[in-house]
Amino acid sequence: MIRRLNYTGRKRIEHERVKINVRRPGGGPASFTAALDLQGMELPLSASVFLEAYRQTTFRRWVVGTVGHLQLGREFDLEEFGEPDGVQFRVRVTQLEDPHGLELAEADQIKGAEADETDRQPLLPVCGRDLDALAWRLDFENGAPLLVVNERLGNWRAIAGDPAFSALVLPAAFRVVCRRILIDENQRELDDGSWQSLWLRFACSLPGLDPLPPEDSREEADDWIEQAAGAFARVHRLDDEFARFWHEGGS
Amino acid sequence: MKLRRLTDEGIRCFSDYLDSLPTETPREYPVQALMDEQLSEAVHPEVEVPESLAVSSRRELAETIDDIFSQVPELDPARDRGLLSWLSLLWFRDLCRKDRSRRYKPGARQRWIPSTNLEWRTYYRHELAGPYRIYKAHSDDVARAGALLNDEVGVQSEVVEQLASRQQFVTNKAVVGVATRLYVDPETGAYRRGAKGKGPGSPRRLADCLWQLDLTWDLYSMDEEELLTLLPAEFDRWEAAPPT
Repeated sequence: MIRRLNYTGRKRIEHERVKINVRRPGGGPASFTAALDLQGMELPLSASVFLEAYRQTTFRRWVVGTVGHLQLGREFDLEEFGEPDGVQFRVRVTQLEDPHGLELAEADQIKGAEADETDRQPLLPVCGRDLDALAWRLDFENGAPLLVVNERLGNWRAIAGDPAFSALVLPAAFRVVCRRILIDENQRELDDGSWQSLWLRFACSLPGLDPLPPEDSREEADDWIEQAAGAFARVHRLDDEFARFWHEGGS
Repeated sequence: MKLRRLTDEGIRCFSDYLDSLPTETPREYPVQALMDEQLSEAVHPEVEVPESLAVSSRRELAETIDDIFSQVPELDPARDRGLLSWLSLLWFRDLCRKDRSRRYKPGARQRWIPSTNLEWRTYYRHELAGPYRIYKAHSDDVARAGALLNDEVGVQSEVVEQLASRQQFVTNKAVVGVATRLYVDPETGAYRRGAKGKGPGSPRRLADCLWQLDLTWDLYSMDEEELLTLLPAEFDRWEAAPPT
């Protein structure tokens, strides 16, 4: 992964400040409503605010007023996306006066919640795909981790939920995700609402761990990740799960 | 011939065929999968598709696919793996390159069978989905996407590899327009000499620079001229580049 250096002072809009509710009344064209809280972020009141929806090569962008005068009281049409699953959202605060186009703040990879469901998302979503000869793979599609199980193997949902599979795969996936955050991206932020911070908070909640390793310390990060993977396995008794499978031929 | 959709079994059949091609015992082209009820299924509404292709550029290929699906907006090839797999199979012998001994060289499976309905990162490597989705994203001015569509069918240029794999670049009109201005000769539509290299001013460097600029600038709010002024001097040489 290419590491990007943000020396620009661009602010990160925490995901808690953005609420996107997607609806599809009566199976018709999808749309969404949005709520945005920019108070206390010390952004210029005249800066323009944009909402973006995207999925693959489909992209749409709306100007929704300025920081001082947000205009969000309407439905935003997602018709060109067809089925709204997989659509993600981005908020940008941009200076349109000189220097034109300077980005002042951003929130990205926001998932819309169905209007009638909670916005709780699993830390590690699972899906099935054709992976050729691989049984599983960890993807970072659109940024966040995704556990992909080979649909060629059969009922991938059942495989993903199998205790023996979990015992072997989840600690490895856990390590890969932690390495991505702590080493590749060198992140330690716990409270910005990003997927990285949610993972770090989860990892830090495991028992018996040292504090997060300092930035730019590969060796300490590796040690911490091993500790965390061990704690994760202990909490979920993964050794017992695998032993049961091994000795009894499955649960 | 009427458009159909490969079933999971049909996709496996196509996949097995692709796997066999580099071996000593390549299988016969599975023509039966195009019509066999187990291997493919009819789609509704019905639409005619050409049984063979005579296109030279990725843009012409995208236009052919668009001609088909603009007649049936109910069908979404970007999210229907079976449709594109069936079309890939139908046109495989027209699109797939051959080696010196006239054996097909299919390359990676994802060039012919989309990995999944929703997978983003590798869509552009699919022989049909790549050009078609880029074409649709820039359908208001397809010439803007010349850097991504002017190549020959079956060729995956460095510009495509660098820009089409990143959602925030491939959907950005200014970014795609700048790539075309830098790397495509407006007279001939061909890539400028040196535009496929990897050194200063190359597509790879352009992607790296855009990636960094994207931290500071809202690139969607810019036009091509504004974006060009942000690029470092290494890209200036293209402004005066002679025609190929």
